[in-house]
Amino acid sequence: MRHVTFLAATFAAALYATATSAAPGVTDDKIVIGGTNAMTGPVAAVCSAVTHGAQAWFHKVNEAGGVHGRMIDYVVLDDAYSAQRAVGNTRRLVQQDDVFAMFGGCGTATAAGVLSFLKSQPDVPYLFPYAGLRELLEPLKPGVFALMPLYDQQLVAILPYVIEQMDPKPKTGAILSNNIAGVEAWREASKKTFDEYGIELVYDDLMEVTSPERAAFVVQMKAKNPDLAVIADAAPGGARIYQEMKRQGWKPKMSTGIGTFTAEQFLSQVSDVAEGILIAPGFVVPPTDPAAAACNAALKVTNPDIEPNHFSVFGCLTAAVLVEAFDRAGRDLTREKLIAALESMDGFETGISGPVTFSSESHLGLDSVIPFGVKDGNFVVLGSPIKAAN
Amino acid sequence: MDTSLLSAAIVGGVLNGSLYALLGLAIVLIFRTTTVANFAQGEMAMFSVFILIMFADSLPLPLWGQWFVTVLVSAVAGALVYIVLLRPNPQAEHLNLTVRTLGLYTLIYAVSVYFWGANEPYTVPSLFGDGTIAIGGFHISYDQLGTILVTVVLGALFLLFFQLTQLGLAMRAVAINPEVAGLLGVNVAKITLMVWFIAGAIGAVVGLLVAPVSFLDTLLMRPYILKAFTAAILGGLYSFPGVIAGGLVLGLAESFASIWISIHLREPFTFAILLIALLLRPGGLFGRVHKVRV
Repeated sequence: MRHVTFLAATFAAALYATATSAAPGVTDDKIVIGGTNAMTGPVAAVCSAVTHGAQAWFHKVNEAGGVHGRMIDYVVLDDAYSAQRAVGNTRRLVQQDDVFAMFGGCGTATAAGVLSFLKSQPDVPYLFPYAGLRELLEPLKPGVFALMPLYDQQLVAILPYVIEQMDPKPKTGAILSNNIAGVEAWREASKKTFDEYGIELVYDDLMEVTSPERAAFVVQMKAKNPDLAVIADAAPGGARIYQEMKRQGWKPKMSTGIGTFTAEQFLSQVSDVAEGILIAPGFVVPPTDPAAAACNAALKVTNPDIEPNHFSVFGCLTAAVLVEAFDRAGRDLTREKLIAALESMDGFETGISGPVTFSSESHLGLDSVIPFGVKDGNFVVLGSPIKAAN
Repeated sequence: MDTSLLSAAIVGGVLNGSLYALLGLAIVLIFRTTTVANFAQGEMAMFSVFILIMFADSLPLPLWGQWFVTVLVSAVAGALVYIVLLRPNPQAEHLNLTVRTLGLYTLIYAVSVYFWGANEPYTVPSLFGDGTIAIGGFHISYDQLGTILVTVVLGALFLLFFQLTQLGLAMRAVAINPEVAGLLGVNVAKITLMVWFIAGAIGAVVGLLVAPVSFLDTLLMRPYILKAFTAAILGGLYSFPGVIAGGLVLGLAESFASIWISIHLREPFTFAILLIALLLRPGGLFGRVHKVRV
């Protein structure tokens, strides 16, 4: 009889263990999450910092004992900013490595790839990519959450601010955008703002993000001589544009763009041209801000050779929000509990960004941008956060 | 058309065209003497720029001295490519030899991504400074001017070298018929080694001219290598003046296409030119149809 009781107890324990580790990627002492990012390729210098920042923050949390006794294991595969490779990486991480969630990454085209694959795996959460893709949020998907305001929201917020700063007011404008998923939304947002301020659109064109060609676009834009240029490009492409303006001896009276232009690597290449003519939207404080000290210190432990930048601070932000969600979800972690924990966040203060709020109706965490200008070769915060209304 | 737009189109066309032509010269040089289409020529050029910014720029030399060291090292690397990759089993078919260069292309790219991919793109200093000259409403930068100047001088020196020197004569002899050249006392292996040495040096110069304008990344030469082959084919594949003309025609055509038609249609337009040229003149603009006696 005692033998039977022992067997039954063992069987029950095994059943319990199976039940408690039912969530993929979650074991007694570890939560495995996956990510795909451009660790090499045309946008790697900027995008890889998002991953480095997140990994640094997870390392810091793990060193302090993890979350509910579990370490966070963040597995990142390189997609070199190729949507096809991003899909392949996601397939491997989800179907082979059995990760709990897809997390982070950087790049709109690659995020679109991840999202397309996860349509067949709707249970897998996809959290906080650095991507301005409207499809992340609309229609609302139970497991998909974003922190960064969409590119059109960024432009809706920053463009009126930029126009207000200009004296005299601009009469003509240009829009130069990367030809990637979601581009129509931000072109339309820019055109609408131009219309509202009576600015004539004199040049509007699309560029290929993976092509280095920018000179021909600047030649065309120069011929139209707009007062204000909206340039929605990745950081390396944007740097080429400003360099080309310098080469061709022309620049608009003012320019703005999307959050990619708050990368320090971008600034280091164009600060002399961009000074006084660029206002860009940031989502987190600059790395020079005292509030970013903990993030910078964490990065110094894991990647001492990498200079902190806007993207590494954004990486810390994504990790901090996920850690908070894991904490709220409790020891008995499941994907459903994680989603519920995220949706319970209302004004969560990270210290390095505006308050983070999610709900069951909105999976966008940040609703404001910080206007960044360039002074003496550095980014400076020009004013209070601007609401990035939908 | 706006004159400043026209001027910018001409300068941009001549600038890109001269770079296509220079890279095309290296391709034609190797093709003429060994009948190998060196698909790795662009990646060799990209690697040369990494040699500059990763190693040569730590040397206590002015920038032009670092350039010189880079070009020299790249030339030696070109010769090594021949010794290691193409000299073994030289009797292999030309397709075999050409596929070896495709393997080299992949290898150089993979190694560059492995070592330097994470932090690209890199800023590369220009030998010519970053000033601009204004002529009326039109601006031309020092590096654009310098690039055009270097390509013109190098192209002219190359043509003179090939026409007027003993080594150039020997190269021409090998190009026409290596067996007969060998029987007449020309050291074919040595000449071929020199050809790869020179091609390595030319590739390095092109890479060093391109990188300051468009930042250095591991895909630096991808837009150029295809155009360089196109220029070579336009010029007849065996003709040095032909590849120079082909490069300039291509550069100007794509520059004007981007202004008159659309930036996005300039590549289809330029390759349409290639197709039409090959349909009308199968031997290229300056070439002859090569007949083989069987």
